[in-house]
Amino acid sequence: MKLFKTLVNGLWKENPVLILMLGMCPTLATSSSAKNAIFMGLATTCVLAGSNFVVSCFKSIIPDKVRIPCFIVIIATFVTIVQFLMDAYVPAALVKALGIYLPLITVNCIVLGRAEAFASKNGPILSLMDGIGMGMGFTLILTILGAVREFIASGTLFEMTVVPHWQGFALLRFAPGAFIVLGIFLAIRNAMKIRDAKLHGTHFDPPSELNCTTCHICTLGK
Amino acid sequence: MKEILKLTLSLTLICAIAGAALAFVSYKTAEPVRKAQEAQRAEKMLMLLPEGTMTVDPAIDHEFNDDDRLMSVTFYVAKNAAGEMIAYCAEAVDHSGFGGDVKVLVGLNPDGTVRGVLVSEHSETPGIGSKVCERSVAKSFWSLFKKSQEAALMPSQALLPNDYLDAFTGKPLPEDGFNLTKTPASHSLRDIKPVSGATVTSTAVINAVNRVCSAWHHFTLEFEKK
Repeated sequence: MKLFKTLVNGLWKENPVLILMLGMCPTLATSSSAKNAIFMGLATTCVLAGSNFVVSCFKSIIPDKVRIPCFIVIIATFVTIVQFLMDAYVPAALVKALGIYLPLITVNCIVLGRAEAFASKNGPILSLMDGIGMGMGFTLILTILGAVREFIASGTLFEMTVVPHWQGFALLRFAPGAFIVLGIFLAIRNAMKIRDAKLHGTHFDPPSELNCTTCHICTLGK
Repeated sequence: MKEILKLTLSLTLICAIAGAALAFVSYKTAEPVRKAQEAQRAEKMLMLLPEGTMTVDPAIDHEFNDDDRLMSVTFYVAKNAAGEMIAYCAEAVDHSGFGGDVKVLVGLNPDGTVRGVLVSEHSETPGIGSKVCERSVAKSFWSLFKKSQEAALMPSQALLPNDYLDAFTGKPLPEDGFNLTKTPASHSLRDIKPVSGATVTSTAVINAVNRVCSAWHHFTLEFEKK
């Protein structure tokens, strides 16, 4: 039960993009089409699940003082493995479209953030579940974002024409469009939270995980 | 002192494990990566070859070695469905690019005129040398609001324009090679104007094309003798 709860945690309740606001850079840059978005999301999921698992396994032998370099080495290894695999089995045009953002998964805040905040405190299986859940949450939002942008920009979904003779609005294919669509997503998410709170007769507060006084990642709030 | 040793050892251990894992994956994926690169090259070649090309095979007998640098030019023969030879494609490398090797593909008609030139591999400076090597569509700010003409999302078979590389198209391969000059004679079939600011890259590309020139003339001579 706890495993399942950890798994779905990342999908909505602690969604890395919408709630934790982590990994904004690849979110904005690689969601220009649904296909790019889904592959970027899957690549990140692989890295996240792998690094969470390995970090959790090694957490007892990693000294506290050098934990960040150790995490980065583990994450970078998984990123390089994913890159090898993508070079070998994924069309070159797609790898080119993801470009620099693929190697940059190494420094993606989601991956390091989960290694630090979750995997270094929990068991391997639970960490694996958390990695998969967080990755799926990232992939889900990225794909929806990519689908909306691609549809409005060129009237296609996964490169298949949905509306023939669509006039096209290329702005959404570029960075400004990404900001606009993501902003709308965040507004929808906040509206849903506020409505939920009203129905339960409470007041909407940001999740306590994000609150500086309860979070233990850095020491800013102390 | 003891602590430093411990920190160093644990970091070394993790790096060693990571290195071993990477070496294993690299070894396992080497073959598929090579195949993928080959498929990519074949796709690029098809852009330079006429419609109806069915097979592209290396012309094994005609590997040409440049005397001074021992750099080989590989020719490929394109055949249509009936098995007739309809075009050639040549691949040549030049080592004198700003960022190292520049690999060039040249599509050729049977009579030796250039169908098109494509830089298949390079690591030139983005924005400077890459202007010579990459075929792309110029984007303007207003194109954001217009229905975009560019095929950024779909892989297109058509060659995108590039002023420098397009200068070769349609010209016969000269025996002494193309000539890089800032003031090309208006009707010259040999003179090519370099991209200003990217002379080194322009030179590397033309050197590679000229390797194809000399190899081609060697190749046709041999062909006539047979």
